[in-house]
Amino acid sequence: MTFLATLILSMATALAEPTLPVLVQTAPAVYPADALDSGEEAAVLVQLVVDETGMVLEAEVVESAGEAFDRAAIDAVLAFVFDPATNERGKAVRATILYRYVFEAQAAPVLSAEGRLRRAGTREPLGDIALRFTGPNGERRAATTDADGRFSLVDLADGEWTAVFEAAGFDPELVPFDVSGGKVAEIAIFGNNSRPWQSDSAEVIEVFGERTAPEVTERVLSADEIRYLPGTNGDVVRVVQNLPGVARPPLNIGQLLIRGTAPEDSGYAVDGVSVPIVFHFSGLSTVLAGDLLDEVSFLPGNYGVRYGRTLGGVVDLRATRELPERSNGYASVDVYQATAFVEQRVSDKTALTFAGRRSYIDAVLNPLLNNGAAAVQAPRYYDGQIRVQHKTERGMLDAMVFASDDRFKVVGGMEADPDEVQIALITSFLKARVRWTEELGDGWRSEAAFLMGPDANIFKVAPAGEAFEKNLDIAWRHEFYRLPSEERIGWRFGIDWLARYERFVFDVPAFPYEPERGDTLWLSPSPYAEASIKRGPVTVTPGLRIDPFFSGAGYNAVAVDPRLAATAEITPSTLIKASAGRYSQFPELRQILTAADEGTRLSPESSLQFSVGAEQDLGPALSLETVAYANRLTNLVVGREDRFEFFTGPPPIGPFDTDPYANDGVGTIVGVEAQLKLETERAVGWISATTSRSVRTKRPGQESKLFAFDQPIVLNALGSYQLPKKWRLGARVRYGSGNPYTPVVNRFQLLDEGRFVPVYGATDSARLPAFYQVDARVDKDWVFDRWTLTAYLDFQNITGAQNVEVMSWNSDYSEEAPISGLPPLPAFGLRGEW
Amino acid sequence: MRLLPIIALLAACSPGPSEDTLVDELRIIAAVAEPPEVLPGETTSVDVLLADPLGAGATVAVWACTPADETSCVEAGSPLAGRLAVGELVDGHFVADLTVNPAWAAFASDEPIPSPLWVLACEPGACPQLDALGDALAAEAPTDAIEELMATPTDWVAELPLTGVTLGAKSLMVSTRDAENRNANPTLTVDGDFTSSAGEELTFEVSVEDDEDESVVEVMGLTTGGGFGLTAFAFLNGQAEMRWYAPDEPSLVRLYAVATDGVGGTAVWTGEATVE
Repeated sequence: MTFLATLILSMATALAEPTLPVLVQTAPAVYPADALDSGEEAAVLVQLVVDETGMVLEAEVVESAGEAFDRAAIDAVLAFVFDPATNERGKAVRATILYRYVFEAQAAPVLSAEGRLRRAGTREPLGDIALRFTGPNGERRAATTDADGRFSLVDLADGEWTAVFEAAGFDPELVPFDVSGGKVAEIAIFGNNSRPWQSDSAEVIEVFGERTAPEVTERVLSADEIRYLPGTNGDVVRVVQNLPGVARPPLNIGQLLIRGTAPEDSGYAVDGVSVPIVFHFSGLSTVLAGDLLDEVSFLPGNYGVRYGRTLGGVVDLRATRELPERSNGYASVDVYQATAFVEQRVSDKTALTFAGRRSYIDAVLNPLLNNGAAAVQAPRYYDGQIRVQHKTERGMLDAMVFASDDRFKVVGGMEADPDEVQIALITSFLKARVRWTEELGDGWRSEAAFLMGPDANIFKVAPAGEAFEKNLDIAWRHEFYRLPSEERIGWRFGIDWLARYERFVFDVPAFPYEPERGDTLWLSPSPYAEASIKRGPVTVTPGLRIDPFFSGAGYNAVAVDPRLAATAEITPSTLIKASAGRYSQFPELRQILTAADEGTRLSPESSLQFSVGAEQDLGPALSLETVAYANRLTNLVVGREDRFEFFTGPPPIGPFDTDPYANDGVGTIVGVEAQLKLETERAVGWISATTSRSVRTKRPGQESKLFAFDQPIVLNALGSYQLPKKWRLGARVRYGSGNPYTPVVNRFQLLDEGRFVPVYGATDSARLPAFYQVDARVDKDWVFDRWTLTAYLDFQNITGAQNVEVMSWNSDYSEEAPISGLPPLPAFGLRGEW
Repeated sequence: MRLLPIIALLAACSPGPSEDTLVDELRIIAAVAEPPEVLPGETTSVDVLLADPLGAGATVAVWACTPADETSCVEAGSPLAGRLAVGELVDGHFVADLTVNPAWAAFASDEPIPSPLWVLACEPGACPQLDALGDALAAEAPTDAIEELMATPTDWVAELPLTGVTLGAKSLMVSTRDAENRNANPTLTVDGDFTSSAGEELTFEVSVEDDEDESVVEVMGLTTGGGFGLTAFAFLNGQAEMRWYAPDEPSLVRLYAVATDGVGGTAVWTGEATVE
């Protein structure tokens, strides 16, 4: 290659004999491959800043010849060396000059080395990063990485070279390589991003996701950073338990108590289609691998028409919508469980994912529990997922099979067969889900999700007692959606089908009840539609959802639920919002059938929900959201509390309502919730506060009572902070009012049985002591070139608070014997990620 | 699915003496009706055995009340003398004769029906209502208030102190069966060495004889010191072993074994153990 150089003086002070920079060492540019193949030639005019030592400090394109030529020219001139310019006193000074770099195809240089710059640990390509190279005899070169992190060097002199990588937030890296005999050297550079908050181009980690649909109160959690929060054991979905509006369940067993409603009143979904549970026993982890999830959407109430058949909140686990950028995976072990996750790109358009988890808390606990006549098999659970994603010209096909199984057993006994099951609890499901998403143009998007598979909830008690609820679901949602704008109305309409073959059996000889059983097929094809009208700062979203219910048992019903939401951006940093809507929930099959036998036709339970709130940005890192809500519950099914209480519902303490089923229950819930969020490059956290009151009246004329899980005050504060050297610290403080309970005021003996029977005081007239717990977490990453090892200590209840979770009594009911929660529990874990 | 019942179950699994077998305050040990199964209008002798480890003494009331509704008994209207007895505890016993309401004849059959008997014992001054019962009995003039009191003993006890008061319910079986076919109380014998060192573990051999299947009889151990290993022991061929853990201090301990056959029959054994 030859060079034509034109130097144009632009010195500011050209007085007595100043001199221009004189080029003493050039560097060849990498000829763009496509251009070289086609014989294309070009010239790029660049402006250089040459410092007092003759080095090129900056280079900027003045006349472009296309991105590829521009990049090559810049890389070349950054390695030029000049004799510096001098002023009238002969002193070297900084100067700005123009230089025209000419590319001639016949003089294209020879490739000497090529390489790739990636982020250490994740192997993610680092694009648009400037690299420097030094070689024998002080020779210098420069290169800028392309979007795939790749770079090339040409016409290098034989000898030892060193690649120099320096970028904000990264540890400096010096990578030596040899050039000899015309061979092309391969260079791999892994940048350790030890201070990501200092990075110029660090990716933005959004902990609090953006709402993609006009839901008035939707809290979206969307980031990896969530997993470093204390007390969650790295589980993204468990973070939901710390959001405003969520009360803490007894023993933290994984139920969600949302805005004063019962656990069975809230719904769980994967990509908008219903699933039975999202947490394993004890709430230690989610039934889906966290890395499968794009976001976790928590809708505590007043949600849009997309969701229905529930009176309480909704947790929707939304799987990732794009192909993974690269193959990746992780394996982790801690005191509870082992987890593996592999996501493999098998082509540009297809990816496979395998994930699995197996708890071994039973192996840890069984020796501690088995000190009596019976052998306890502590809770053990597993889950697994297999997923295929395939991208086509039109959209994305996503097929996933996922399964979960939780078991708890007590086997053996005083005189029983050592292997006989005394008590067993089993919850399991196997689901296959296929999703098709498609961009239809003009802002329209279509999503179809099909989900089917069995689930079971089984309770066994010796001798030969069994109670279960088993379902086979076929669910299908097909939805069309367009976001609103000033010019056009946004729409969402679709149909949410749920067909279920449902069986239940209640046959427990140990309990003094006649066996009950039943089965039927029911279908609920629910159409819904909503429009979002945006005019200036105001968006109004009216919607309607219709939930029909057709059953083979002859029970048919329909619920019509209109909903209305409105938001107004009264300033760029202030959003106010309000909503009202009706929500319906069908009675359980066992309730429907038993009531029908008694001549009663049950109606859907109903809820009228109202909320009003505001979101206020308080600066670049702080925001505040407050919502006041009211919920009027009517037509609640009450009665026969003694029969199925062990499946769902509040703890079976106190006198039961044993009368026949009826839609006699009503309830009122009011509350205010607030969340102050902090999100900076190094810190994430929030303070959430909820105050509420939830009451129920079971039968007409009866006194209104506090709901069994009424917690007037719930406070959570949690956060994590990134430290240098890949350390992270986190802490969580929780406070919550104790649940109400019915006290025992005296007792009497059944003399023929030798046991005591409690005499209860007024229902729910006492309250457990307040809950208070402090958790802490520390994480440390060791970043290797191709993988990252993370060790963490998640220390729950670090102060050793003796929190009363459930009230119990001694055998003669003379003293309260409360069951306390977690002792101080340090959990150590390791995670390897590649 | 809930885990709370499981946690309660786990809490019950522990070796060593059971605290539930230790009697450290006034408590009804058993009520033995002789005979345990009667004809309508027939009288039975009810022997109530109480533990009074504090030696405070007690006033005892025994009455029959088969619920007619939430505030009255079917026995209401019949003379109080046959269905209520009030008196003082003597040597740990209170014995009363109660007559089953002849009105039971209307629905009694060969299939025995339980007729509830209530026993209330209170340390002096703990239950003012006992005086009212005694007065009503003496005057043979039951008022509506007294009838309601007798019909709702659990409401009554809700207002009484937790300690120094003990309330129990027993079933007296009523049938029209011939005498030879009616249920009889089992007999109970307990053998063993009742002298031990502090903290020592003793095993007693328990035998039961019953006119029904002896495998359905359960025996319950109670003690004023130390503790039995289990609250209840099952019989195999009429034999069972009861394990008792002596207290850590030398003392004289009263032991009780109560056998019940599940159909109203009861047998009681009382003994003393010397802990040296």
